[in-house]
Amino acid sequence: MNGTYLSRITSFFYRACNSELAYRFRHSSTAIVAALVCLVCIVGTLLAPWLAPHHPFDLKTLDLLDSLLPPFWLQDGKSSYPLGTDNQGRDIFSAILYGARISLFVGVGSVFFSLVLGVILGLLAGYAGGKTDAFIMRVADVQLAFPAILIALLIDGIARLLIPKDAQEQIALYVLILAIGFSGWVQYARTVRGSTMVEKRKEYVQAAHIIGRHPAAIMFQHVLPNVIGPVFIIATLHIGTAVITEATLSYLGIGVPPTRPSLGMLIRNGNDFLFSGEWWIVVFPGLMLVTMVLSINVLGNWLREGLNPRAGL
Amino acid sequence: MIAFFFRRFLQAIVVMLAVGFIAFSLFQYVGDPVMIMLGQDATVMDRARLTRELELDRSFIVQFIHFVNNALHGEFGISYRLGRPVAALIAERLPATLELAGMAALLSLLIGLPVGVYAALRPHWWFTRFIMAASLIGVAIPTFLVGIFLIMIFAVQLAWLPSFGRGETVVLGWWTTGLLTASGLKALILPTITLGLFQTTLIMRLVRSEMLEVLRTDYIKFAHARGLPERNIYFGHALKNTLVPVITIAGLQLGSIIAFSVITETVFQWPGMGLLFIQAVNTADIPVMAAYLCLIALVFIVINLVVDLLYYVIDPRLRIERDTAS
Repeated sequence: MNGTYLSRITSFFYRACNSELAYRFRHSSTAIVAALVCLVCIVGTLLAPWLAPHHPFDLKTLDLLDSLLPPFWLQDGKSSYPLGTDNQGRDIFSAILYGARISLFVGVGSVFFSLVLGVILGLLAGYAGGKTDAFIMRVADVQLAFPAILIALLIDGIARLLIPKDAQEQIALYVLILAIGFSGWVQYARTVRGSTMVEKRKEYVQAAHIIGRHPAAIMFQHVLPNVIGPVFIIATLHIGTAVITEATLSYLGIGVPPTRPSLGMLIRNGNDFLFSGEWWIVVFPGLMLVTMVLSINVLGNWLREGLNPRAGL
Repeated sequence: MIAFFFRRFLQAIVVMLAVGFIAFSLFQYVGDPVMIMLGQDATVMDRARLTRELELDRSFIVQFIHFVNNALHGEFGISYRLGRPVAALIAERLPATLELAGMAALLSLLIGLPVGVYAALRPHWWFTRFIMAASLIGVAIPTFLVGIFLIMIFAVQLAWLPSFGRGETVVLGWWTTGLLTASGLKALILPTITLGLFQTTLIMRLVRSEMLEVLRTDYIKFAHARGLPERNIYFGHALKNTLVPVITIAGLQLGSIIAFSVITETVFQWPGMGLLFIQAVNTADIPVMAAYLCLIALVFIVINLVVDLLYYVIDPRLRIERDTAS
């Protein structure tokens, strides 16, 4: 049992390392750099509690005497606060690590929600056809007419009004994930619907149908594995968008709660200090956000072009 | 063809009603309007009177019809936060948003179109590579961050341009414009760039890819073979066919620009509808939220409808396909 698993895993890795994609990856400096940056960002945020020199949201450890310190290479900077501190004496570097963690959590979470919702609806529309298909796709068309960020903003804005104030802090993050996730399901549904309609006509689906398998089982066990490929490419590119949406909503003050600041929230906090010259409170979280999104997008674009058979033309 | 118009129109009305229903439910489930308008100390009698006046004792359907009727007359009630009619507030702020959106759209067309064409004609030129790389970075920078960086450089460091507000405005009837004063124009520069940047990269990439596609077609090759001058081929034959999808997307993007102005207006404290909306969301000012929701939905639905119908009129292939299908 163990042996077969192990050999399966090794053979998977063997095939992965010898695939054309891996070959292209080794020969594309852009992809390698983007992957490295991505990896550093992800590892940095996952290990934030151990890597961060301070705990920026533990009020006991904050010292107001250390507030508004510049980065260490400037005059008055302290080496214990490498990127400076904000008006409450919080270490910017630590705040960025924790903030990026929340940004990534919301980004990945909402993409996952979008993906699940979109794939289920797409499968249903493509497989069932008829009225179900028409209804789902009509809703998708209507939603596509509005920009995703506006939909997320409206859902989140309305949801905040419906939630009682005392519960807001705990569930705001999840409301945000649902709002952003709901704004992005259409592209998954469209892709999956299209390929499901093609798969539906193939013999293996008809065979499964004839031996009397349940339609749900056919959809999820037989059709799904054959239509899921392109979904992951969309998802990679979608993470960048979702992170930006989260940052924007948080910047507007309707995203994450102030007690758990994401990168967008950190930028919002620093906005007030632009004019008094404390640029580091805004600039470093901003750079982190751009670096993260850029590396994800470059990787996603490369993946899309690498896996697209027409890209070579 | 009339059947298509009719179906499309009916669909638009259904969507609009759905949005109106969402806006209406906001009033139903969020807060108690009687409490908000009269305060904590009102007597039971007063409350009952206002409830009757606002028709809150009628059934859900009657209230909804009443709401739709009011909305059609442009009445959304009185802002909880500012205590003034919502319609007047929006009319006051509409010019600021439309001027900003218009300038941003103009900027994106004036820059996106020529740069896109050149990027397609000279794909290996260093400038093309630079622009394509820059546009990739541009997509990764959120709008609000672009605004903040612009403020940091041009307003704080260089002190060339103002960082917030509209500057001096001139009143023309019911329209206040910032386009006629020097300070108004200066105040417009940074927000316009912030709002237009994303659309510029979008249009540029779109024009480039469409143009590349068209340049590969047989009729362009044939035009080369006929010995037509290059300029004629590129601008007379190729560009013309590129423009149909570009105009569509540009039209659809107009709605996006108005929606995205929420962000830009917040960064620059631009006194437009977007800022009004964000303040309404933060203070649970339901009438303003509902009105903005309906207005923005109307804008999108009208733009989509017009683009769809124009497409139908412009592109004869669509008509034939539909007619043979039906």
